[in-house]
Amino acid sequence: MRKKKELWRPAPLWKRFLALTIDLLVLEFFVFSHFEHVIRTMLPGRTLSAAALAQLSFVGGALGILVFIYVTVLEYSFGQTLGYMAANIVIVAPDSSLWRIALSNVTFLPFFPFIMLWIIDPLTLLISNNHQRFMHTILGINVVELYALDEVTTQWKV
Amino acid sequence: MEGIRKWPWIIMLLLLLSFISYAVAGLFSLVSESTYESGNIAVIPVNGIILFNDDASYFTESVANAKDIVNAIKQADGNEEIKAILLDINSPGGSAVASMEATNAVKHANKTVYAFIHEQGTSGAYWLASAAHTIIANELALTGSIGVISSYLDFSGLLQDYNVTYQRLVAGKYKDIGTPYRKLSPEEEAMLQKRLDVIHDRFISAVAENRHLPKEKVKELATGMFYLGSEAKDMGLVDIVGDIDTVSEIIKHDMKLDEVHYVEYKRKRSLLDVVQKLSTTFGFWLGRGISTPVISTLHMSA
Repeated sequence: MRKKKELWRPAPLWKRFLALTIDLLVLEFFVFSHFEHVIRTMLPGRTLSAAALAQLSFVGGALGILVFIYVTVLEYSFGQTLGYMAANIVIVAPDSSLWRIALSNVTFLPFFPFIMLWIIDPLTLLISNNHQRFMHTILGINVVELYALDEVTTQWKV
Repeated sequence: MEGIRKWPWIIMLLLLLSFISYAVAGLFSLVSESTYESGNIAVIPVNGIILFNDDASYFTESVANAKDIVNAIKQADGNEEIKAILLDINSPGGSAVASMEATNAVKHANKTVYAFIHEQGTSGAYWLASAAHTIIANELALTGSIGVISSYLDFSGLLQDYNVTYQRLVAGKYKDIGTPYRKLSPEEEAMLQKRLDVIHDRFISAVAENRHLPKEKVKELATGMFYLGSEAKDMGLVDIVGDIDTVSEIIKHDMKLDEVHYVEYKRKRSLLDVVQKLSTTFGFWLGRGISTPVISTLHMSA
C-alpha cells in the first residue's frame, strides 16, 4: 500500500521570489496605488525642497508601517501571506507569539536601525544554505515548503 | 483558521489596509505643500489682511499669511515650468512688517511678477503690488491708501463713568504706552506719531522706488485716501486697467506664450490643522463655559 509522508524543507529561492512578487502586486493594488498621486505631486520637475523631502519620508514611513501590518497580521493569523499561499510555502516558528512574528518583520519599517536590515536580510536569504532571512534565523523562524514523500508500506509491517 | 474561514478575514484585512492607505494618502495630499498642478503662470492669492500668522482665518476674518506668500513666491520662482508669477490681490493691507517682507520676496524673485488688484489692493496690499513689474487693476477696484494707522479705542472715560480705576504699575516710563485704559499724554502722542511718520515715509519711499515715481509725487498721493483703479492709473499708481482676461492677454504678450495656464500656489490647509484649530477653539469655549459658573458660584458664596 502506498502512503504519502509529508515533510518540511526550506522553501527554495524561486518560491520566495514568487511569493514576494505576488505580495508586491497585492500591496500595489491595495496600498501603494493610493499613494501614487501624492508621491507624483511631491516629485515634480523642480528641485526637491527640504519640506517635500520630509513629506516623502513620512509617506515612506506610512508605507512601511502598512506593509509591516499586512505581513505581520497574515503571518501571525495564517502563517502565510498571500504570496506565500500562492507559492505554497509557510512559516514555522517555535511558538505562535505575535511579538516573534512582529519582530521578524521590523525589516519593513523604514526607520533606523531597521533600515540596516534592508541589506543584511536579503543578503542572508541569498547566501545562507537554507535561504532564510537574517531576522528569521535569529528568531528561529523558518520559511518552509511542504513536500510529500512516497513511502511504501505494507500492512504487516505496521 | 483553515479553509474557507480564513478568506473573509483576509479580504477584510485587505479592505481595511486599502481604506487606511486611502485615508493616509488623502491626509498627505492635504498637507503636501507641493501639490501644485502643472501650469505656466503661478497665481498667488493675497486675500484678506496681510499678517504673519493666520490664526484668525478659520472662522473669522480672512488672513493672507505673509509667510505663505513668501514661500509661494520662492516655490514658483524655483519651478522651471513657471514663466511668470501673478499676485491675485484682494486685500485691505495689514501689518507693515508682513507687507514689507512679502514685498521683498517679490523684489527678489527672478521671474516677472504681475499684480492684479481684483477688488481691493490698498495700504500694505498696494505696497506689495507696487513691487510687481506690472500692476493691473479693475477700474472700480480700490487701491492706494498709502498711509499708516495705529488708532485704538480709549476706554478711560468709560472706566471713569463706572468708577473703575486703572492702577498703573510699570517699570519703564513708557511701558504701557498705548494702553486703552488711560489717555495718552501729549508727549506720548508725539512719540507714537513720530514712529508712524517713519513707517509712512518708508512706505512712500518704497512705492516711489518700485513705481519709478518722484518721491514728492507719491507724498502728495499718500494721504491715506484710496483711489479707484481708473484714478490710480492716471496717477501712475497702476499700469493697466482691466479684468482677468486683460491680465491673460498681457502675460501672453509679454512672455510670448501661446497659452496661459494658471496654477494656484496656495498652502493647502491640512486636516490636522483644522482639527487642531477646532479642538483649540472647543477647548477655549469649554474652559470658559466651565469657569463662568465656578466664578459665579464663588462670587455668590463670598
